[in-house]
Amino acid sequence: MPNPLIQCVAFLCCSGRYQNLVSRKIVLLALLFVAFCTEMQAQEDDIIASDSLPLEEAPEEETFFDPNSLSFEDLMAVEVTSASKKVQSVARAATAIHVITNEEIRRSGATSIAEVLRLAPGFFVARADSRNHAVAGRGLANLTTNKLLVLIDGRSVYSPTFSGVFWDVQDIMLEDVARIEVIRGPGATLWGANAVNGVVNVITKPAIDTQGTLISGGGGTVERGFFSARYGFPLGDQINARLYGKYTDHDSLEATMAGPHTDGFYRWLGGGRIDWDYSEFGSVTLQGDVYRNRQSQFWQQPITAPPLFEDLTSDGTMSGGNVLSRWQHTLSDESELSVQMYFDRAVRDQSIYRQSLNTYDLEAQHRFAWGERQEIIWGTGARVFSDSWTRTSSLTSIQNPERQHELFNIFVQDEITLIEDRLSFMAGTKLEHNDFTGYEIQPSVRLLWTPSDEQSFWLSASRAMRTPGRAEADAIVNQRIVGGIPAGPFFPGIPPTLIQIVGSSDFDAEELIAYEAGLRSKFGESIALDLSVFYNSYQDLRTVEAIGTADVSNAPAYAVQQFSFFNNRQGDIYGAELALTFDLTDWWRLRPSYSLSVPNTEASAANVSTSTSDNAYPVHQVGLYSLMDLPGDLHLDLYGRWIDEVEILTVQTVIDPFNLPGITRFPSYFSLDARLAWNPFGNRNVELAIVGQNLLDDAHPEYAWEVFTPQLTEVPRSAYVKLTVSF
Amino acid sequence: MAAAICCFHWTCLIGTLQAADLTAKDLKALYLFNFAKFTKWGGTQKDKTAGPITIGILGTIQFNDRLALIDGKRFGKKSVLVKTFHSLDQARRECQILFIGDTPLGLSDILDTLRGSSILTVSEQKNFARRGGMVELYLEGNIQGKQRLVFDVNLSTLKEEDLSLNSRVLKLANKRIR
Repeated sequence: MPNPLIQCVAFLCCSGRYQNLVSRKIVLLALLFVAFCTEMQAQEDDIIASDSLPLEEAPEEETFFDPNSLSFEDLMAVEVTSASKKVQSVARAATAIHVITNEEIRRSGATSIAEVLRLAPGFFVARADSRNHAVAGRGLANLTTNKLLVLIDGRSVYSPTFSGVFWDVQDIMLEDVARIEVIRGPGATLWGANAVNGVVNVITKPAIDTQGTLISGGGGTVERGFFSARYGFPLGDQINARLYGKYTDHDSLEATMAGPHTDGFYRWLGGGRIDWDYSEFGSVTLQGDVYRNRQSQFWQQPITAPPLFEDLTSDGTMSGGNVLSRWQHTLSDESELSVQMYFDRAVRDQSIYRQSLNTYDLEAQHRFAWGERQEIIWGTGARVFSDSWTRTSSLTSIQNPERQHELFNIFVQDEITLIEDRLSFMAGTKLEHNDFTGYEIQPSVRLLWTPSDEQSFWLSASRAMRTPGRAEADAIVNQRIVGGIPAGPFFPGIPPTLIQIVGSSDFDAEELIAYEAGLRSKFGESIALDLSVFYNSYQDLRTVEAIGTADVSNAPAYAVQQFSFFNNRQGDIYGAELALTFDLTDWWRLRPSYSLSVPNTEASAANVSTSTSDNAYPVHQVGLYSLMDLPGDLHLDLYGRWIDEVEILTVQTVIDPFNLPGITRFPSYFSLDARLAWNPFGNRNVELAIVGQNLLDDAHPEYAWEVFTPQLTEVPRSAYVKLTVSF
Repeated sequence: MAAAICCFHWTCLIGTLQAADLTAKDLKALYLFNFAKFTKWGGTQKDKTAGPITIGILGTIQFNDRLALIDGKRFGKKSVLVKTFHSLDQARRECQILFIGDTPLGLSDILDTLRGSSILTVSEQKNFARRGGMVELYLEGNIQGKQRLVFDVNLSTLKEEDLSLNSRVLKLANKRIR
């Protein structure tokens, strides 16, 4: 029975708190009055409160604190000493892992998953245009880096066709990401093939942690406009759900070629997640997303008439969606079972080809303790890919326009505790079968020594394979026609020559044997260090080699020189990554990082026009991330980085008729992103942020397409504003 | 330790790097909030949990001043109310979670009185879970003097009282007593 008087006073209190119209004393008096009224009311309703005591009045910060902002897992990780202290637990993993938290994602100002990954020490992220990134760890980068596996909530987004990740369609509501785990080095024993130089695991929050409404929007110079909204709600007892939608309108980057060649895009996506938690039957998650992405494109395809190429500039549309369900069940204290299945459809509809790809996946995993000292994880999985090409062009075509291929795997890993809490040993292997190269075996051994809770050392040796994609087996790419020399009185002439790259069923998997070591240590309360070193030995890396001599049956109109994929490159890459955490004060945190990657690979065949340059990855990278909480509820975050030069074989250089190695150099650059955010009400419910990116130069190039287009884009200085409201 | 190492590849529970200034007292209050969030009540409580979840405090507790962190706070469409009780009978009628602090009443008497009420019982008393309580909170230390707030759950009492804790929370329990 609401008392109108109490309501009135309560309203007065609230308005006083928010608008500062009423002084604190009045608020306090009002509160006392409310307490008095409540007491009176309680006495009237005699039974209710006769024996219960009112709680003390809460200080303001506690009234604003949202207990949902920390998950139970977060709380469990808090180390307490007698007094209050900072939390900074050392990850006890025998692998080079870096976790990017939700807070870091928000404070980085990054607007896509690929851009967020710039925060991971030892990772290389470079933009080729508005929507395509080269993302790699430890070396051998490419626009679709074929040695990096990326999973979003357990769903692989690695393309089995092009062997790499299409970053242009990987978007997500970044506010709902719990964390991104970035693993450098091989993870093939658990994750399977193509987890060669790294694994990225994007993990979104469970629906119970995203209850309520969140709306954000903004715009700026390159990020022309963006808007996203999420609504989380309970569906029943222990059933929680959320729905989200997101729209992005992105401008072109700076094109260096003359002409109306743009690369902007707009994209919308939406989706949801339902979590059903049962203690007896375990928990069930059902989630899905749909997206559509319209992008300006610019390709060049070969023609026989001068100038021997023509521009293709129609827009491309990328669309798709996925549904995933997962069931996790705790069988007993020591035994846990998880079953997951998903369906994913991706359509790339553009002038050079239209491909649709359906992926069906089913996996199961069981973890159990075996005796006192051993913990075993084993699992199995199957994945079916079914693709269909309904358009090709004179630039690209495919043998077998419809093909289904499958992947089966079984794995087991045993973790043996040698000395409780101090020394453990892990050994495991994955056996995987794919339709291109048959069985691949990918074992690893790891040793973890934690002499104290402040320090850990680890060693590992592992084997990982990069298996061929469908395009490497079946695609035909008419790269370019290079100009011939007309016949003269004493010279027979050379016809224009079409450089044609054809897929090969003989192309085999690429192999990595990796040796790694790492050290994590805390120094006092505020300094933490994470160091890893690696030596990667590669065999059978991909090369592109001419097959036979040119076919001159169409001469003098043109000749055709075919190239194909071979495994004639080997060598090693060694390097190190260092990440430091300095919690200087309560309000200032610094995260310096440095990474080194020294390549030394060599092609063994004489007739090689390499497709992967050794130097497409920077030798040195330095980063400094600073997070500051300033007075007045302001937050200032700076991310500075220096990236060494890279060299990439681009369209113009690969087509050199005499196979002379030609390379486009991207000079080293220093760049700075800054973000200033203000919480006008002292909590995160309302946040206004202004973000500046690439502030130190007008524009700089970072990367380029190796095939299909000669365009070279530069990343310009940019800025945007963003308002986030949650309630 | 095993659980802290990358295990299930889609739910890697690796030591988080969240920063917060929290004391043991804060944690105790926040744990209570999370128990409210992650418990499914059956039995006689089934109909009562449509409204706010009432967390009762019986006896004196050390973290009384930190209860404001959670009192009146919401999760989803539900809210949490914290109330201090001196009468066990009243607590039995009104709350869904009862934290048993220092009280002259004997523990076995308290648990006997609460039998059949489907109230989630939480306490810091030693061997609480083994003696028929449901959730026992305690600090677990290591040789460096660092401590974490952990808890044991008694699965059979939970089952008898028709209560279920979310599997995510059960997984976090230090010991699960049957």
